[in-house]
Amino acid sequence: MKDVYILAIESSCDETSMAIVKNGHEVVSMVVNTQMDTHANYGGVVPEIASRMHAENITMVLEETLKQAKMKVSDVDAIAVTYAPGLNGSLLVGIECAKVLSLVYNKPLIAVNHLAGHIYANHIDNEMNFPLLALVVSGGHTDLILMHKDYDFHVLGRTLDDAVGECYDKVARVLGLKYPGGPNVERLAKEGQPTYKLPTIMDDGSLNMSFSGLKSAVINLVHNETQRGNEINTSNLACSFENAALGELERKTDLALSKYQVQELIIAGGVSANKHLRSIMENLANKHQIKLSVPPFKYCTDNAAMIGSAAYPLFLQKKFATHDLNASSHLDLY
Amino acid sequence: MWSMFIDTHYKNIVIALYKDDNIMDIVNKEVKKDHSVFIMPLLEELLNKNKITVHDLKEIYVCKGPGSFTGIRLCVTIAKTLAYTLNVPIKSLTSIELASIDNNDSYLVVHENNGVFIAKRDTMDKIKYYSNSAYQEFKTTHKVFENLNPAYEKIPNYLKNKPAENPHSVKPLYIKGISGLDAN
Repeated sequence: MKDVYILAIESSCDETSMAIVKNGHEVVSMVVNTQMDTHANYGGVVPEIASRMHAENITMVLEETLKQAKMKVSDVDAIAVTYAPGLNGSLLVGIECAKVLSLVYNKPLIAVNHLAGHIYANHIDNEMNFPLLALVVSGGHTDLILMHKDYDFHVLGRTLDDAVGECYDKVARVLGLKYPGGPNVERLAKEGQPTYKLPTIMDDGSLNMSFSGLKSAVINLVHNETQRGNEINTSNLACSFENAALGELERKTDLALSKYQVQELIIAGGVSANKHLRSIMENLANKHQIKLSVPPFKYCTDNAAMIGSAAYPLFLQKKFATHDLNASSHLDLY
Repeated sequence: MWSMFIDTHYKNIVIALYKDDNIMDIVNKEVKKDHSVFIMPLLEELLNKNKITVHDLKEIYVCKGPGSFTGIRLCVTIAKTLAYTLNVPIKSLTSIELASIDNNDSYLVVHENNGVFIAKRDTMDKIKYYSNSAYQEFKTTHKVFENLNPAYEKIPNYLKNKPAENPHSVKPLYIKGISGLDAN
């Protein structure tokens, strides 16, 4: 079969990224223009700033991506773009750029869901072995998904309130850590002991999860201790929080693996960059004697390579989008 | 030689086609929301109707704002990607300049959802934002005329002596800051 090259665009949050991906799992080139330093000044992503930076950088990111691949847009077979979920104004910059490329070079347009992208990050330099269980953990999602084949997503359980990544960011804030909160909490937790008692989360026997109670407990604890004039051991609190949060993910993933026979466990989304989470999941995979697949670090955070990878099955199925494609900030995958 | 002007700085999607600087066709469609759903299909329809392709375009003009933040991002992103990929010159003008073509008023006014942008004719690059209430007050002391029907047909002529820009550096002109920003 002829090789398939897809030019993919991702602009759903604070990274302007483009990549050329061959046959869904070989990254020919990838550029990620991150705005993280800018947003760190405000303690989090400011949507309007993100959108402005995407519009300024988009053609330069395109040029660099093509240069690195030593390819022209006319050499690729399709244009893929993230259309949901994400920041509306940011998504639109990538979408309009993709439509113009599709028009000028007469290439099919493929609309990719960002979450499918995170899952298919595991397809880069790798094969996905179905049936599989995917744990999607990010700033917006905490889902356990069963897949029997490509693009067949069954939600077994999900957070009923906050996403685990969001919880990390809030805890980072009350601990006075800089944005991005997740990696900073993780770093601090490594130096501490789980000395603080925090509530254990949801134990209703279902595969659903909840993180808002844990988040509130940490905020209240910091608040109360500050009022009493007691000093907080931030590394111990970070460690106690991380143990509770990751413990919840461990219990529910373990339960899902006991209920469903799968070949492989994959973790996806920004929080999958957490090393502690990776080692917990490795133990679980060993216990259930299945394969664990974790994306390389550079494909855990937002990037266009995963979008190109997730676009490949859609290309094979000829599921193309038309040029009236719109952004959707809250579209679910499943 | 064909050229195209794109403007989505406010409610209307405006796309004009010129041949040798004469206007050949124009779409001017008011859209309540979701402009991105309509712009590219309208652009393609206009090309088809005139029996040309995007590759016949040899120059791109764009209105870079000020206006609706999302609106100016859409038309600037489309215009600069077109110019970059087609490798043709791109020229931009502000919405204030657009309002200035073919009228002689001393104050130029451009609307956005919650207010207006105003500039004096002799200093068109000094654009100020007024909320709707501030604008009402401004009108009691200044004689203003709102040009609701810009002279789109004269854009190629207006831009004739302006140098072409690098598509990478064409960016929306926001004027307004971002509300609620609290840098630490």
